[in-house]
Amino acid sequence: MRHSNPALATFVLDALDTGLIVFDGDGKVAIWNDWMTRASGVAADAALGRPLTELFPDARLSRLTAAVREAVESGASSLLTHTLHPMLLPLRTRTGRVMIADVFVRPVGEKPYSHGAVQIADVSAAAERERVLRERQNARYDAVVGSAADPILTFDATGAIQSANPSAQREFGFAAAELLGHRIEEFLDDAAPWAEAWKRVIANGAPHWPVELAVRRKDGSLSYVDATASLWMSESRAFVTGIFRDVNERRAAEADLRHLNETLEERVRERTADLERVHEQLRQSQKMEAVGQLTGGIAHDFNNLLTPIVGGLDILQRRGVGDERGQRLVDGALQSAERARVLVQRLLAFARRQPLQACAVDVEKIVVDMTELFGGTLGPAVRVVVDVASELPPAMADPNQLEMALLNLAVNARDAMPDGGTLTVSVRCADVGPGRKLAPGRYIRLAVSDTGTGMDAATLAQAVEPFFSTKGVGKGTGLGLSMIHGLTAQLGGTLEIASTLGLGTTVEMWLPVASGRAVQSADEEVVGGEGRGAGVVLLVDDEDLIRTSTAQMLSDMGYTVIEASSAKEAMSHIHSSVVDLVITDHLMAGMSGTALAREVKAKRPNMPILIISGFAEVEDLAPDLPRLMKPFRASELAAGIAQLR
Amino acid sequence: MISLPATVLDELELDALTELVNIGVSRAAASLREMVGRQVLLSVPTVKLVSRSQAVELLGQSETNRLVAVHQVFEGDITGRAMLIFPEVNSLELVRAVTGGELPLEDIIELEQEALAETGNIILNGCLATIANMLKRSLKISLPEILRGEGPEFFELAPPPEAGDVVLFLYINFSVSERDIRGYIAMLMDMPSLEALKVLLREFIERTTGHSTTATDAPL
Repeated sequence: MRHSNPALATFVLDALDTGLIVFDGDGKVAIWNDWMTRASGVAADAALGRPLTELFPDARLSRLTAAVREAVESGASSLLTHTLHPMLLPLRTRTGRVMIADVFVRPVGEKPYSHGAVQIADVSAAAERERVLRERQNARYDAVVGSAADPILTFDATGAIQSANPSAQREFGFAAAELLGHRIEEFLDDAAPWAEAWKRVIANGAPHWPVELAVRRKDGSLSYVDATASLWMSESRAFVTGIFRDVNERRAAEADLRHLNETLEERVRERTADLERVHEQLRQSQKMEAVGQLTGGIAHDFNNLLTPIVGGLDILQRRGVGDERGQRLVDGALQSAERARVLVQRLLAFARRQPLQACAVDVEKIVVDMTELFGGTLGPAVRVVVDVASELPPAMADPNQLEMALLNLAVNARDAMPDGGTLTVSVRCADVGPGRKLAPGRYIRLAVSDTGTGMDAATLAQAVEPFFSTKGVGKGTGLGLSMIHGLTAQLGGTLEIASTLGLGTTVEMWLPVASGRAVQSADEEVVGGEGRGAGVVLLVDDEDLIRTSTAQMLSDMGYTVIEASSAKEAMSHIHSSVVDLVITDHLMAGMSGTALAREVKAKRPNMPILIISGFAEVEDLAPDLPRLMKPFRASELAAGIAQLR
Repeated sequence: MISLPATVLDELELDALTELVNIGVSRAAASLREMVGRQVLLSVPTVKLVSRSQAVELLGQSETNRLVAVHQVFEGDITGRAMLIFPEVNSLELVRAVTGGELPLEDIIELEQEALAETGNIILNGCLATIANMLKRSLKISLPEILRGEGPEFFELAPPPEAGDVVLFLYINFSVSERDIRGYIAMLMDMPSLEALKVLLREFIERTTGHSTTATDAPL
């Protein structure tokens, strides 16, 4: 500096709008201009001759003092920016605010340098303006990127992550510091799609269509994302910002759909099999229905045919017609006729056309009574276990038929266990919901299980068909299960059979629970008698053969018989004649026996009436009317008449 | 006629220079460590003396991207330019390293210029001041300035040197906060300065070893 007045230099220094401190070689203050006094609050007098560390004991001054030393010793100039040295010196602006300053250190004079100069520039205004601009920009940026639901990463041109938004940290599980400076390839199992996309983005700069990436989270799991990336520039510097849309949910849904598609065939197969099963069941039940109809019809006709045969033979036997040899033939014929009658009975049972005396039945009592009986029948090799639940409600059933059914099942079980085993009879109460082949409601489940040979599927499928038997010729009728099937169906229940070859068979009878209380079955064992009768009997039957043979029986008993071939004819006799007793067929052309009985009762309420029927239809045949099943022998007819009195 | 640069300084003198520069960057590392509060490692593995065109070639071979440089002028017995050069793509990493890594990207971009200037200033001062001190000479070193561009531009700054110049090419490894940043220090000098440097180095070697040596009878 050239100057004419030495004092001028001092004035100039004090007039500067820059802080100036000159240090001597020992680091002590040699010049301290007015600006410094104003900014630091330390007067020149107080500062001169002292090192900076004494003036500002709390400041971190090592870098500054080192820079001053370098300036003096080796002529180096140094820059200390506010960026890396915020609050280097405790300076304030004239408004009292904290001053943001850049500091420059230079050697003074010619070498060797005796002094070092420190200049301090107040950049508060510029820094503040930059700060405001930056904050405004950051606020806008944060509003978009910071709150975005998708991970957003910004990469520099080398692919190093330079920023990661909160979503990225959340989704991938890494803190920002664990992502910054790293490459996304480090978190990808397959980096090829990203590398390809990166190449295109760098080359074209255009936004890239999504590539799907699987990002390995910090916890090791995979996060699937659709990545789009675009290039942007800051001055000449290139950056790439990638948005990584979370597609985990979409992928999961797609996976489900794929699985659904893959299993479609199997589901179709299952449904088809179900349908076929239902069809087979339907076919089976239709077959059983048809067989039942046919059997019922045949049985009915047979009954009608048997009635005069049995009746006629009975009379012949009773009268002792013919010689001894003739009588033997009559006996034989009668025995065969009896067996035919039993067979027809069973056929009727299967066809659900037997007359059932359904009432509330205490199943437990029947089971206990019957199993006592089994003991002798089944032999010592078969152990009988009875398992009856307590407090069972009564079942709606015909006690006699139920006993027959139980006996039948027990015999079947015994035959299935030639080497012995266990027969279990269990009774439970069960509720049936809607959607089953049974009507919803409560049922008594009576199960008879054996540990015998069991049945294969083919045998099981035919088990209830009439005349199907696995027993040898002459050992069984093949009607046992058929009868039980008919019985349970007629009662509103069902029959279920489960069997495993080699393990045994369980037959379950499902009987509806009766609403009333169980009736103590007073044994109404009719005492067959050769009862002698007297009086006028009106006999009504449209079948001449049956009527004739029955009339013969009645006159043998001592009755006077008036025959009528129709209900109409019978009614005229009721009006004109003295009649003590009416015996009528049920199924007749025109008016039925039951209807006739009602009319007779209407005229003559005290008239005893017996209905004979071979074709029992429970709903048609009024239960309050006494009846007799065809065919019958004289003794049975006598008993039926005796019942009326 | 200019002598081939490689022959101006012999092997021993180059070794001595490498040693001096290493001491210098170690001091710079200490300054940076104090400033950023974490470990900073700086090392200069090799020094090469090359012509300007060779320097451009060297830089062009290893760096294809744009470069950034911190530039300072030194004047005194030896005169020239010193530059700390590294790839521009690394500069943000460097800034993040020295600012502590907590700043958002946008702030780092804003602060890059200042932070680079100051960091380069510390490293270059460390080298130059150490060389000057060890050689017992004073240099006057300017304040730092940032340059950006391709390599060749850095070696053709105005005003051009009066005499033919050479480049002392130093590789520098920079490691901070688990980040490794490679770079170069280039010192451009004219021939008179290089001759002066050679004299100073020889004096330094004599002082250090206590006797006169030549390249041919260097102690093993």
